[in-house]
Amino acid sequence: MTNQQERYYNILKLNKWFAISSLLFAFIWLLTFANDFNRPWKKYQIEFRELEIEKTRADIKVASESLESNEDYSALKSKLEVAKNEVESNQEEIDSFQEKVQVLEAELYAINQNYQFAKADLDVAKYNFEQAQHGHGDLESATKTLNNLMVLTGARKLKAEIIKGKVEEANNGLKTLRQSLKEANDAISAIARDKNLLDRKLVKIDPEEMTFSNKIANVVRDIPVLDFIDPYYEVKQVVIKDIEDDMVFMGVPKVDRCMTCHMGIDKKGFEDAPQPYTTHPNIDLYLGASSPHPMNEYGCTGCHAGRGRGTDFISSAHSPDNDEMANRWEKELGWHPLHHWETPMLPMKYVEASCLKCHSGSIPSKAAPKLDLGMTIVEKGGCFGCHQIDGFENVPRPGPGLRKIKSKINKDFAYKWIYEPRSFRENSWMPHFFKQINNDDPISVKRTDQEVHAIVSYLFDKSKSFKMDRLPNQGDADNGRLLINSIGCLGCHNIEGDERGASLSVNVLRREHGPELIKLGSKTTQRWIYNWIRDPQKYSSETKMPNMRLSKQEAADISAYLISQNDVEFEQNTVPTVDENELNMIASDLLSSTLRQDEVEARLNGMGLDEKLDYVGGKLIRQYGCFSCHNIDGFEDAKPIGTPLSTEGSKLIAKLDFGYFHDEIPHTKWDWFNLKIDNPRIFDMIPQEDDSYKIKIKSPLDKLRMPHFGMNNQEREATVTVMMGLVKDEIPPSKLPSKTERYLAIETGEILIMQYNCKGCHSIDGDGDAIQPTIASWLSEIADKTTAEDKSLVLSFSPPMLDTEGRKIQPNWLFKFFNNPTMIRPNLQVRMPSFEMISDKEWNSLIKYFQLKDGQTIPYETPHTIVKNSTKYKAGEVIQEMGACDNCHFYGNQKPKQAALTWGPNLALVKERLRSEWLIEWYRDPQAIMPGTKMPAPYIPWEEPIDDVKESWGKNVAKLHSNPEKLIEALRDYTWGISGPTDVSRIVKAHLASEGYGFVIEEDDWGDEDW
Amino acid sequence: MMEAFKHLIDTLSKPTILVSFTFIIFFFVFPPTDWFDKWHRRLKFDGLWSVKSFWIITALLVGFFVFGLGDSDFRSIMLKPDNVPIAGLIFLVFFFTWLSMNQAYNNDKLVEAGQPVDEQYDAPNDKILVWPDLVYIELITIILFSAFMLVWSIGLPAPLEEPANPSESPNPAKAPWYFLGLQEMLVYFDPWMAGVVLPSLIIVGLMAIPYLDNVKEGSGYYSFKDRKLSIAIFMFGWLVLWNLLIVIGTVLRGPNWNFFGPFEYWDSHKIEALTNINLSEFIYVKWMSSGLPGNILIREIWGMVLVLGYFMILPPLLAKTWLKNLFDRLGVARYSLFIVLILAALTLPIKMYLRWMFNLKYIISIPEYFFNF
Repeated sequence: MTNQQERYYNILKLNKWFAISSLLFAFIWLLTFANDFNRPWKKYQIEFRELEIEKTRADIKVASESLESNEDYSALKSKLEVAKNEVESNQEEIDSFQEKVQVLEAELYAINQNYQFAKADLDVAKYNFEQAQHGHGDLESATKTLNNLMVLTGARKLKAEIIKGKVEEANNGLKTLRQSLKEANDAISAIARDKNLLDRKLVKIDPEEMTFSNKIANVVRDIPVLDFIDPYYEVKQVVIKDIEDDMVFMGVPKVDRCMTCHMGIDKKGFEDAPQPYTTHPNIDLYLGASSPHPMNEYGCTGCHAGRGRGTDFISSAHSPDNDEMANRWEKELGWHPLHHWETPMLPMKYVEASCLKCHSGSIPSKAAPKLDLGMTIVEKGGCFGCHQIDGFENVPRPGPGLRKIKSKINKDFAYKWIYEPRSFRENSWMPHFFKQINNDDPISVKRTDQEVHAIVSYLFDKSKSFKMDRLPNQGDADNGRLLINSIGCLGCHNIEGDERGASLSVNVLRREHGPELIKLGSKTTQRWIYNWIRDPQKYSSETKMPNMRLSKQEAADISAYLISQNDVEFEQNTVPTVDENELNMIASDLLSSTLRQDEVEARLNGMGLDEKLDYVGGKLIRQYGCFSCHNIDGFEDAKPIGTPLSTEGSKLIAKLDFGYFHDEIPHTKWDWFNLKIDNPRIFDMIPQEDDSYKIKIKSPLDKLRMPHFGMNNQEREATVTVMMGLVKDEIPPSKLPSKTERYLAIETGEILIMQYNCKGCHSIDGDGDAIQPTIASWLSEIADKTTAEDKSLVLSFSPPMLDTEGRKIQPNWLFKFFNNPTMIRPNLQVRMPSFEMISDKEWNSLIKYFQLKDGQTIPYETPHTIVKNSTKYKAGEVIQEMGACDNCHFYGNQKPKQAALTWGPNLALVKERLRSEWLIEWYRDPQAIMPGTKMPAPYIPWEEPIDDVKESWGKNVAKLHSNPEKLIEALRDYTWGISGPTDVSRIVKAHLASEGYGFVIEEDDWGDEDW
Repeated sequence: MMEAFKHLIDTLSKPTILVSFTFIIFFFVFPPTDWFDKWHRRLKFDGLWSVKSFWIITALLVGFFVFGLGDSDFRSIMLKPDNVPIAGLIFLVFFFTWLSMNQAYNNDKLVEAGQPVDEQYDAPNDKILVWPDLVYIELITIILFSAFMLVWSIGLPAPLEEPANPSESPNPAKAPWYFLGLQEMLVYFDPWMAGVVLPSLIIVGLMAIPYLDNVKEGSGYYSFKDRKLSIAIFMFGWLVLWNLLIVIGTVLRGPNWNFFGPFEYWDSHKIEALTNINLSEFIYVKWMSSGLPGNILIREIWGMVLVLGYFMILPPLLAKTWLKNLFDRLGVARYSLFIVLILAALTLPIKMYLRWMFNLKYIISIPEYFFNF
């Protein structure tokens, strides 16, 4: 038996322990609440609330000031006073009405209740009656009850209605008495609507403006533990059901909580607030409720990436733009990369990448200029040749075809060029394969020397011959230079060395569509150039170079100019001799991948030097992927050699081998891509402490082989932007731009326009016309500087702007023109080339592009007809005469009166070329369609007194005088009727030859009036 | 200096060195026989269990961790929220080992002096009170432990790792920490051995302990002197074959399951030469230069003879020689069970050494029937 007092432990001591541990537990329990309550985003919300209160107050101040200064407002206010007084004076009457209403409503309430009782009884009676009819119960008494109740219900209903009527009457009386007061109030709240809204907002957010009870509620709602009910400070989020985050096994609807801290992101007015409260910089395009990408349909991370569910700076996976920013973040915000999140936020410099997800068909170049530039670089650099990229399947190879190479250049040039293209042409798109970081050691150089020999040998051996015409004469180089500067070569080519300057744009690259035309004397022969520019298709049927329809003399002149420049230094570079031993080594390396050593030796012994060269050359062309950019015989079906990039942006970062550069660059995909493009062979290297490199142990054939494109920072950034945009995200159709006929036509058209570089010469919707600066410099040469600075003059010598082309031109004419370009603006030297390689189908796509882009949905229309003896036509004739259209325009064969400088299109062309509706649009306001055009809006005398018009413009114009539309139609109809020969090229040529353009060369300070 | 020390630790952590060192030192720390005991005392290892040693060793351990945490590679391994318990495990296992051994040594001294041992309370009928003492103490413990868990969960929240992805498994892919010992065995054994047979034997062995251990002396309180063999065997299994393997698996196994020193960068591109061959290849290819026979039985006969010999011939031989006393004490049935369990446990270190020294993969290898040993 144990007795109660018996203990082996001191109970007091245990009690103490219990007390201490309980207190400790209670304290820690509270700590968990505190920990749960204390969220980093709260301090941002508190701060933003203060900002918002401050802003609302300021807004209210502005609003009330503007109200005070508003005369209507003060008028309304005094009106309100009057109305108030009026109501006061009628107070007695109002009171009596109100009393009456009260009494009546009480009565109505009681009656209604009784009516409801009776109605319920009636329903029972109806049921009983029907049952009795069916043989259950007493039919007689049921009938009696039914009838009584019907009467009773009817009577009560009637009574209720009578009282209702009385109530209404009394209310109307009240309304009438208060009418003016209500009207004044309504008017005031209408005019002060904005201020009232602000007031209401302020009351909600500003504790100082709250009622006492709201003040208490304001505190209580955010108390720990109670804050689960309806807190003010809470995680804000948008859930986008149809955009999913890829969780490998399943897609999870996107949840973005960014606005928990970025509280001002979708509110205008916080443009200058500090981060994270700033308004989105492009709220009309993104996030705004009426923008194409409203926040609750697109969220944030769909474009910016990052972890939308994160609610603090680190867990939302922010990414810095550069090291400096990273260091600042680390210091100020304790930032570090979120290690396991595969899709960290895109740094701002790459954010345009996400546009590509949905807009791959047609890059919105204005909203995403960097992405647009990147796509152009991918196309020009031929990235898609080695790396398969979806959407580039039909883009032609960017390099020239090499099938007739031996007629164009000699082996020495080919050797030096392949070895180091940029030593000849600074901005060549041909990348460097040799003398790179992983093959510039003496042993590798010895080997690559022979590799290039082999490649050259292969190309020349496979080369077919090219039958060339003789030059008619030596040509005039000076004239050649003028021709190059004027006929449009410079829409696609540079001739003056690197012109890119500090900032690269798509427009600058348009002038790199073709190679830079420098130092050709060191590259090829005048005869080859002559034959090439006379008919590019004859040399290479795959070329993108169009036919400029040059005469023999023009071609001779141009070739004489182009051949006149050479690069002595480049020519003096020596080519190492062929080294058969080294070649044997390369060949045996190549052979031993499939053969045994003894077989290799047997094969090599059986081969002559040329055979070896050819064998090695062919293998190396495959190894280096030369065929990716150039058409080479024997490689028609060769497969791309590089990593496919179609989903490179979604590649797991673990699949990128950072090698020994793990600590050298940040561990991000974009930094890896950037380094790879900057120095494609770098991952073969081991960095040393003194910034030099040592090479990994690799056989020559296993070395990295991506060539070096010499891109600058801006180009790399644009290219990486494209790569980050090549993702495998599945986009629901509802989020994609809708694939209407118009959208598809524009998509197809834009691809063709990019492919044939139309915007090198033409401007379409504000983009393009890359040639314009060269037109200006040509003008300054043939006229003077002042002429070149005259924007409208430069424009009148530039290729036409193609805005509204679809509404402007008749499709049949356009199709004819495309196939056989003819003169339209007589003063132009720039020629529309003959694009012989463009098929009818592609021309049709282009026409459709213009038409649908400009809202012209039907291709074929009833021709416009005119009646020559109508009032309208005759009035048109007068207007035309008064407007002196023939000063600038040809009327068939009839030459314009003014100098060639101002000449406009032959009006005999109008009928077959233009659409009659467009002509009206054009006459109404030429500047609206073609800003800067020299064409003035025709003068229409509709505002002049009718008598004056009758006197000076004649009766036909006077008849239509009141209607300016009719007058413009009259002019249109007259011009529509002008006929005559449409081809005036001979006349123009003769005129220019004898009289020139007639530039007004300013030698003194001449006033405008003098001209 | 610091780097040299780190390098030294990295070198000592190589499995060959670490495991061999542990094997050798272990039996002098926990001497199974009188001979080891003699050296145990001569080498002053009995001093390990004094209070002073406890503080010295704890200080050394803490010092090592403090020093180690200054190293970014060590830090990144040890401070992974998943690995923090393993650091705790090192301290806890040491503490409880020390505590029990300390009490055992004290009791041994008390017994020698003819005094009652610590655990013998002067309580009537040798009873203590469940209510209120035990329950009260347990309640306090529950409260303190709950508080500790709350603090832990606040201070070291569960880590967010990458979404599971079948095409991109984590490298290294590690089992939960308590299974890392088994995962380590997978390096040396066929999965069915390491995953099924050996774990079953561990359970069987643990269940068999009360039946095998028929020594009455020293029972019922902490003691060492009378239970040297039992303690040494259990501690070998518990400390070396279980806890050490967990620590190795956590701290020293990196990407591709390669070994990395605690101060070494986990380079996923590190390459180790791992060409291992089977016993049959040793015999037929290396020694006889005759190529492998087609007949499975002929091919694997050597391995089978070896394994059978190990489990069938070795026990009676030992019973006649080294383990004669033990055999006499246990009798045939107990001895057989005991010796088979011990031999099975010893296959792990044996295979480790065979692998390290000879690149031996399997002694019996019949992949045709998924049987490898």
